[in-house]
Amino acid sequence: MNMRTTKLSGGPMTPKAKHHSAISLGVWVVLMLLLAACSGEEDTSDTSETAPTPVPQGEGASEPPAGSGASDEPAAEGDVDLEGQTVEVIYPFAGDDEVGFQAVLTAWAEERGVELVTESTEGQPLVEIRVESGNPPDVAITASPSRLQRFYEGGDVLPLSDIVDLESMESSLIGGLAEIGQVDDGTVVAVPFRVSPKSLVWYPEPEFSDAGYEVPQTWDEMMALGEQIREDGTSPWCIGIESGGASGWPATDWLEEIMLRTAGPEVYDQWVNHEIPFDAPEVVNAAEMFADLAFEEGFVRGGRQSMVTTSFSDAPQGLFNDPPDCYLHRQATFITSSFPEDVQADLSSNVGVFPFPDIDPEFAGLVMGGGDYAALFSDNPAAEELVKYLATPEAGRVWAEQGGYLSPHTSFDTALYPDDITRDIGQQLADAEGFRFDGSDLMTPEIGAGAFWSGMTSWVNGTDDLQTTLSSIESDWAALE
Amino acid sequence: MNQILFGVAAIALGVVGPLLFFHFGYRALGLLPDRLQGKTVPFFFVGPAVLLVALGLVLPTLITIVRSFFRGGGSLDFESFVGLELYRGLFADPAIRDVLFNNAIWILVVPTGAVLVGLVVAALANDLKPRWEKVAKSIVFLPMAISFVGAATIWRFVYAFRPEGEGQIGLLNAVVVAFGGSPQAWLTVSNCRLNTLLLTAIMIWLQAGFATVLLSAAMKGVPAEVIEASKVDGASRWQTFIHVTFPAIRPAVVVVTTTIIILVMKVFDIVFAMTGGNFNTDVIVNRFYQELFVFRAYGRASALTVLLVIAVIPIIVLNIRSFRAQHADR
Repeated sequence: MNMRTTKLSGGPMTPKAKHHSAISLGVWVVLMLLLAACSGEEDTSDTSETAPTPVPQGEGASEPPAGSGASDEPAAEGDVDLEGQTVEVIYPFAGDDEVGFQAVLTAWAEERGVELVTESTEGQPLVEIRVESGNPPDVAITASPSRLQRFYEGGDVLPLSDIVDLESMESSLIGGLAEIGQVDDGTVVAVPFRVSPKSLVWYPEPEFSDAGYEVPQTWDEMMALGEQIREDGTSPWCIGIESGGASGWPATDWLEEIMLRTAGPEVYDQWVNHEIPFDAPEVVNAAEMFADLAFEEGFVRGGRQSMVTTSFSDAPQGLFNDPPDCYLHRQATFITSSFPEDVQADLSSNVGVFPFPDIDPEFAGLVMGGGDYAALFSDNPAAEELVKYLATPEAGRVWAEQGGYLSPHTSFDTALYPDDITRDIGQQLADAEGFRFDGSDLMTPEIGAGAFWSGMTSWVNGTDDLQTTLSSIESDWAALE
Repeated sequence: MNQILFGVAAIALGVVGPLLFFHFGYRALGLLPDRLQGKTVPFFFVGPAVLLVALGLVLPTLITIVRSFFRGGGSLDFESFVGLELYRGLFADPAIRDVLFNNAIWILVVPTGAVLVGLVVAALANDLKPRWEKVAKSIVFLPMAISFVGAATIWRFVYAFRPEGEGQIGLLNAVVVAFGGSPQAWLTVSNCRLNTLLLTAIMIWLQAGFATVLLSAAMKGVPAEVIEASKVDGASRWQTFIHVTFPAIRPAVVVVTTTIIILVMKVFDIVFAMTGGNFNTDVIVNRFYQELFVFRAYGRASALTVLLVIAVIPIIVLNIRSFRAQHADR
């Protein structure tokens, strides 16, 4: 810097120096304007709301005659042009599940010329974080539609009534699934994309029959089978509840399963809606039954310590060791993606599955299950089209072929499933006496995705006893209201 | 590709921009009457930084403090105002008391452990030949280059658990089994807060290098004549260390201790990555994360943060005072 231009450097300013100062001022002002202009632009260029081509919404445009919900054709010529647009999707899938879902997204994106940005949540409340920080995704997949209630109230998630053909979608869905995508006032904010029945027990079929074991029909028979297996020198069950930030959810599934079968669907609903306290006798009873099985010496591979440190996707490996380290594993259909590759290659020969047995004959034939729902967080036209697509039965086709996917639509062509096991499970679901959605995914998220999960982890680990666990979840829930 | 260009442009703008800003701005100040120039120039140079800190740090802090007086999901309306009730609620909640207790363990154990290791390594390394001294200190310092989450991943393999009878992949369990014991899922054992102590070991491992380097520098600042004099007087090495060296480097020890304490109060990544706060290992910042993102309880989360800030202030005061004392001697 030429120090002579300012007083600080001593001496009076020459006219030339003053001239330099004036120019400098001019340059400085221009710089400031540029900075202000640039930072304004940066804010908008990152979002996916790129300069939209005037796009007609919903029913107004030219579109395939049959409602998109029931159409079997791929995107027809009359569809909205999405070339070059970007969609950001967040989903909770990992491993083979992620591969399957990516295949679905990629197939759609390539066909419509859309650019995809995807991210897996890895068990974290990523959607909440993103919305919180003002940077929501375009589309989010969630297995807990109850989380969407507060997003709806905050105006972050958009109603789907103008985007998805709700009537034709609901007519093809398995009963009970459509309502779960609604918020309290009945507005539909999410559409089911995959259903995952959870009332299933998996076993290594060849080894199981060779050992002379038989599929149990009731809880008592299942416990007796467990004792038989234990006597033969192996722990009967493989259970793992670790899942990163979501640790504990498999244990909540067990509790819900038993709750449904011992207290019945009505009490189950009351429990989920907090119409009965969380430490009600029915819940205590269900938990104690779980403890009878899971805390019983030698019943679970590795014992309680192993349960809390084994991840849910690693747990079934024991079924396929030689010789098996366990024979029974209770888990949803999506667990098949975590089986060893060679087992997956010929699922029907390597694996057997039986419905979780009835406990109380009054509440027989019930299925508990979860599902993955797609919700819309921006009015990006490509995002709207994606959600519309995911609501159709065809969307699951790409994933179904890979395995680990079951469609929520009754109209889905079951020939697309890669094996009989998946088909049988689908049939069982269709024939069930009643279906209930996973309780922890229906409860308000602070409990269902918070206190309930961590409470179960503490209890299984032995850090807290059952009464303390249930009471503290109850007081947490009461404090919320 | 776009991202690379964008990144380069951002760096260029970030470096060149301020240069141009100050260069031309300073020259433009020449236009001011002479009287004003002297007064304005300091503000001109300090101004942008102060403004950014005020906006990015001071303002959010104030907002958080205000938020801690309102319950619920963040709307600051009259009905939600609850005064100090959230604070009372926090102290009454046994779960929070457990969390505060865990933080207390961290604050007591980590600085002590790190400083002890630092003193030992610095004192012993002092006696080595310069080349080996550098090597020793570098090795101890290496873990500082690792992120907390990276450290958590490494130590996950130290504490890993496999059921009895299966091959152990965790270092600690392998040693235990080799000596005939049975493997434990260490991170789930909360008797005597064993798992928390095991987690603090990770932090000590990370911070010991920092302590070593600073204390070693301080030790070298002790005049050689004083050490000689104490040897002549017949003091053993240990006595020399306790009565001569240690008092001389005490300001440095205080600086290191308080710096580490401030760092330890913020511990989150290690707990989050290793146990998620389960098994009685929860700490304040992890709890805050839960309250904010899972429970969406803005008020409670803010109150927790404010508690943390209040707890840190005396330490910072101590830190700065010691730092000044240390430098005043020079």
